[in-house]
Amino acid sequence: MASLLNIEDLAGGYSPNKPVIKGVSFHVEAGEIVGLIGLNGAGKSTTIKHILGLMEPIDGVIQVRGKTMGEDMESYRQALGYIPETPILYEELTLWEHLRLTAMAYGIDDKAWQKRAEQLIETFQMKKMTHWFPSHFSKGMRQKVMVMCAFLVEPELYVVDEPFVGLDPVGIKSLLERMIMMKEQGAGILMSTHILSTAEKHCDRFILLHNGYVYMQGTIEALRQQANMPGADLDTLYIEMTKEASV
Amino acid sequence: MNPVDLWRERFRNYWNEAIRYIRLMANSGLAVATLGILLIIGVYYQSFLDWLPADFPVLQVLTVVFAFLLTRSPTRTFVKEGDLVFLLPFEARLGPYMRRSLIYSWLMQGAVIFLLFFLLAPLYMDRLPGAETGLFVTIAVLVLAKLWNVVAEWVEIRQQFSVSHWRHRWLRFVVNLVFVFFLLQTAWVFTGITAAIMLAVLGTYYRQLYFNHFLKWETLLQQEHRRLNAFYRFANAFTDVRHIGQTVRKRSWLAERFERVSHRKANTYIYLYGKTFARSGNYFGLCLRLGLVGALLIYASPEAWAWMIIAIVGLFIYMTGAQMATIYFHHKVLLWPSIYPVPDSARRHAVKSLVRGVLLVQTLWFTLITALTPVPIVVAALAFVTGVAVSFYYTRFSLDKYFAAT
Repeated sequence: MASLLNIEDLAGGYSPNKPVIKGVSFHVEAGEIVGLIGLNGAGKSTTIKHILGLMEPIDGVIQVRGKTMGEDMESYRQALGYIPETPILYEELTLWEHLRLTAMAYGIDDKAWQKRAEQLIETFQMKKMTHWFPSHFSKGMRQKVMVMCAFLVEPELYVVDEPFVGLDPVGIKSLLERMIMMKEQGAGILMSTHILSTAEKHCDRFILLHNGYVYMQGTIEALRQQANMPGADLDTLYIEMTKEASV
Repeated sequence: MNPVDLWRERFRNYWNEAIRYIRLMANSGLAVATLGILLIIGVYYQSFLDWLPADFPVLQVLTVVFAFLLTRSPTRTFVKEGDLVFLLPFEARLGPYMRRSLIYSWLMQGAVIFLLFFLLAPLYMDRLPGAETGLFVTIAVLVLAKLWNVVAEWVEIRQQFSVSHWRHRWLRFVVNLVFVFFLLQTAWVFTGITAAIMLAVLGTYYRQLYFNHFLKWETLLQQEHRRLNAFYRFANAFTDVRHIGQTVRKRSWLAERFERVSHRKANTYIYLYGKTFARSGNYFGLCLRLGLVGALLIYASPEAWAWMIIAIVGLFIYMTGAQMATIYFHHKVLLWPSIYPVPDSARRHAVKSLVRGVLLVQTLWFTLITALTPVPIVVAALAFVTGVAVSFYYTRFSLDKYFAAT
């Protein structure tokens, strides 16, 4: 069976002469969490935009379950759930309405979504805010709305961009628990983050991006071997990479 | 930088932006609306004067209106947030800058008074004792009195507390009432005496006030913000202004209606745009305003001109449609619509159905109003047919063009 997400030799960016990312190849399988790691400007966001189909690749292919977006746009998008780095909310909709809109857009039937929504509201402790408008939300609550919308859909593949920023410790814990639960139910998760200790603890594999290239990828053990630094943690490996790569 | 150049640059920047917005507004129906209103005023003016009862207190009403216009004399200073840091050291040298602001504000607000009085000239000649000379003298004196007020308010806002600002404004309003009251009756002697007192107060009390307080930058900034926002909000009634945060209202009675759409993928955007329509400051309010103005015009149409009602209904349904169409771009900056697994055609379809629904409701409303006027019922039926036709034409053809153009 084809990989859940398969990226081959992707080049992309805003101008064909100056691609932001070059020759990026990696894959995400069902039932794993893959960390996308890199400095600011390494190309993480560009990679994510390409996966979401917001930008067209200059070169290379992106497939979800073996199909590119051009081949079947609706099922491609249907398979993806996205948690953006900065919350993007409709100022005119309450929390509950955000959930319903998302449920409608992803064709989740009327009974199923309400049950899931109630559970999520419980988990993320947003009961009081169910009928609030975003203008009354703090940064963390806004982020929670994004997280809840993504988990409501229960897509096959989660694309998660820097999800921990702004969340309180309880929120982070709930988010991680949910991610592990979804992973165990067979979803694949691609997560970009700077919080390396958390990434190291929860990701099965890592993709280290640097200056638009995949510098290294693999399990933490594989990374240690490649860098020839047995026993090193992700933080150290990462710093070492940025030093080496800039020489 | 020389303060006069700085002022000129600020002035130019502001007007460049303002003209851009005015052009946008003109494209989006403001021109049609203004022209329509002017035409209607022109048509009705004489009959309005005839209709106005002889015992209508023209003098009192005009006195209050012009006293209010005189009293409200904010200075446009074009100051910016950053001036608190960068201009503060030059405050002592900003005299020429501020003088220009005062003159500019005087000219702008004076022009408004001039125009309004000019428009009201027939009423003045008809009902008040003054003749032509009186009219010209009155206009000139009013514009001069505006200068007095601009200077006075400029000095008043040097005080720290807004309580004292308001106290002075009220006092000035009373003075202006007396002044305009005499002026409109061509009671020149009393007008002259009041004017002399006003000048004396300016030369003594205000002078001392000026020297006892210094410039309050925060107040200036606040006022400037308020002026700018007022302009943006006005412009926003016609086109999209990104600067201003839209206020979202709950409006449950209307928003709940869209809660009842059946839970299907195809209805995703009906739900989204329906809620947006119900709650965003723009759309519902505009439909309401257009509905009220249209109804007023229909109600006021002379009985002999039944065709005018039909034209008004057609025009106002079309204008409502043009305003509603912008909802298509309401969430343009948000990412979600390009991520949802819902085809874009569904989005356009939703906008069309929503706009059609709103236009049909507006049509019903206008039909009802027409039926309430003494015109034959067949006119109401015609109005209904016209409204429905324009609604369908607009959503079927004009909207597609609108989507395609952008």
